[in-house]
Amino acid sequence: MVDYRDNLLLLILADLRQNAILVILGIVILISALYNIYITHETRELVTKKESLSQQKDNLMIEWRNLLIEEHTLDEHSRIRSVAGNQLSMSQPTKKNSVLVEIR
Amino acid sequence: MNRKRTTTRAKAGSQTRKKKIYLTYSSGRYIFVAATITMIAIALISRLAFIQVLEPEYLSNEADKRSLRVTSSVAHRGNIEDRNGEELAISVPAYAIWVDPKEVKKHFVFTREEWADSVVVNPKTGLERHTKKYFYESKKWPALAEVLDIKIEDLAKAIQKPNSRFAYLRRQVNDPVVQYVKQLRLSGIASQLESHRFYPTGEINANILGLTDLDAQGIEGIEKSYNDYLEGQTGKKRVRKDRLGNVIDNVEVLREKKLAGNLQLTIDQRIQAVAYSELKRAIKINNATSGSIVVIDIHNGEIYAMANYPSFNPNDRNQYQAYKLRNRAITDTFEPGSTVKPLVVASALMNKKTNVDEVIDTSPGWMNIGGRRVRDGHNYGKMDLAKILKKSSNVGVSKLALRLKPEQLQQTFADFGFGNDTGIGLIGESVGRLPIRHRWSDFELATMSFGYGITTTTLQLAKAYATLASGGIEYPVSIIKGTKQPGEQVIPKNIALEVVAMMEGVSKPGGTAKKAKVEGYRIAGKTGTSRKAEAGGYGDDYVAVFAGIAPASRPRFAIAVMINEPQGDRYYAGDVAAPVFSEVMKSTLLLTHVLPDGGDESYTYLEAK
Repeated sequence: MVDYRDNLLLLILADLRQNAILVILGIVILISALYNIYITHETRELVTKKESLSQQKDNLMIEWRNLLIEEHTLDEHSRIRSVAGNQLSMSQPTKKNSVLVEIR
Repeated sequence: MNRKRTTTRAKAGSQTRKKKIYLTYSSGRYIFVAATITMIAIALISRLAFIQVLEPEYLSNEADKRSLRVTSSVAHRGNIEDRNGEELAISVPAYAIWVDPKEVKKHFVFTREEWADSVVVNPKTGLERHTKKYFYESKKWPALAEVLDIKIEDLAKAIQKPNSRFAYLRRQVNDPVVQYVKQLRLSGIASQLESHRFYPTGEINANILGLTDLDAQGIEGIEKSYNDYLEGQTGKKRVRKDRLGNVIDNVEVLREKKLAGNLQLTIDQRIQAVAYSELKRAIKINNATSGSIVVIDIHNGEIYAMANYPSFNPNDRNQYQAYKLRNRAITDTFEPGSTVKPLVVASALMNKKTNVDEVIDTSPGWMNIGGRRVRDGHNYGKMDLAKILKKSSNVGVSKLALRLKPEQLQQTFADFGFGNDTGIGLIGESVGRLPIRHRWSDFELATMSFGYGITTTTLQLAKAYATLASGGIEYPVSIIKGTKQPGEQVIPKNIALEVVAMMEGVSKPGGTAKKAKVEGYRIAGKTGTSRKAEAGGYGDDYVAVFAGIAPASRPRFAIAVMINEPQGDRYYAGDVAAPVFSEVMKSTLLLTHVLPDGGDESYTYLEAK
């Protein structure tokens, strides 16, 4: 009887063993709850990432449109004609200096 | 239970005997502790139940207020591109800067007196302080006015307006300006996202593309006709945001985002650019008032180019004038003059009133019909049909017309699309005038045969020639890619091709339009110089028209050029409109790689592997 107190741990364990199913269920619930928190957090991070990516996409789209405008202002046909004619001294080939190549 | 035992055991730590431990057990104390704990538990649980079950709305509302936000995703207006995918109209985001005058007035005053009134004295230190700033002393407002390119007085006026809560200061500004304005940190000034429409090709396409207003709605041309298609719908959704403003949850979609459609035209921008510049040059040289040109692919009715002058730069709204905006090729009608003569010949052939080999005597170069006189420039004598077209003899063609019943000629004109819409599907199209009545005098019939008394648009004329060139198949013209419709045989094929062959003389020596010649290719065409009708008769102004087809042996393109009111001695179509035809046709044929049919090409053959 002297070691009555030393048996406390064993007592508790015995008690727990008696309700093993409950204990296991409790632990499972706890894990599930923690996992839920983890998943929610992951989801939010992914949503944030997706949102920032689509924002990035929008910005790239806008940049693309601006570049398109620049491109088409520069490659406007009458501008090319005048650059070719005036700066590069090019001219449209006439019938005399052109040869028709037919592929048979 | 375990815990209780432990505590009692701990209290009885000094005791050695088991019995002593039980002696310290007090049932009263146990009940008291148990009851207290139970009560606290009940209080907590009931509070929980109250919050979660009985009245959950209040707190969830409070949470939503702090985290739910509505975000919008802007759908820009669709681009318009030419047949090769080159963009002709692009939308980019722009911003409108607006002001809430009430908000500004909270912080700024506009008169010295008010400024003096706003002084408050700090009771502790006794220092004077102005609660409001004097508007004209702030350096920020002149900076704002400068960056927005408005006068400081106008800015002050807009803000001083009583009871106003909203006023645009400037619209369609770009991002750097917005960033600058934000850095000024002026309360009451805000920006709003909108869309700016940009036309890289400027005045070349202005008439056909049209314009959008500041709210990105099409108000003219294709922009208006296809507004619904080009317009996107800005999407809105409710999201949950965290403390840092990151979106963490998409709650619901309030409005579905609809992406705008891109519109592809049948226009070939390279040809369009040539057409516009040649037309502009011809109008400048001849001091004409306006003009238009249409290039049609005869095999399917696709418009490769449709240019008008005067035009304007759609990127600069200061140039906006209604008369420059008009797409004259479809809105303005004119009397086509001699350009209808090939159609009269076709009508006579169809109704078997003549045959290809007939020779008609046009001497003495004039004839009286119902007491009025139809005359030619010269006495051409005996001519076959081809020469009548080559010389553009009014007498010859009148003689043909008089063999026809008025209804027969009218039916032919109608078959070629006069007095009817062309199928282009653009707003503002005019159908021209093809008077339908039963009684016609012979003179009226004769004048109709050389293009008076009926009106057409440049597009209708080009379409009529395309119908001839395609062997009598009439295709509805289209300017939007992918809207092709099947053609309809309106003229027997052999007759159409015979008439095309007859028209080849026009650019040959002795023809009316030697300047219509295209190097390397055979062309067929017809000039038309008609006096302009004004109130009470025909005046001194002319319309110079040239309509033609090339290559004559295997037609591919039809072009109609109209130049309105050329001034000076050389007002004949052969001098005014034919050179435009020649240049544009040449570029069109070269750019689309049409095989030359001129006959004397330097040829070389490449063996394909």
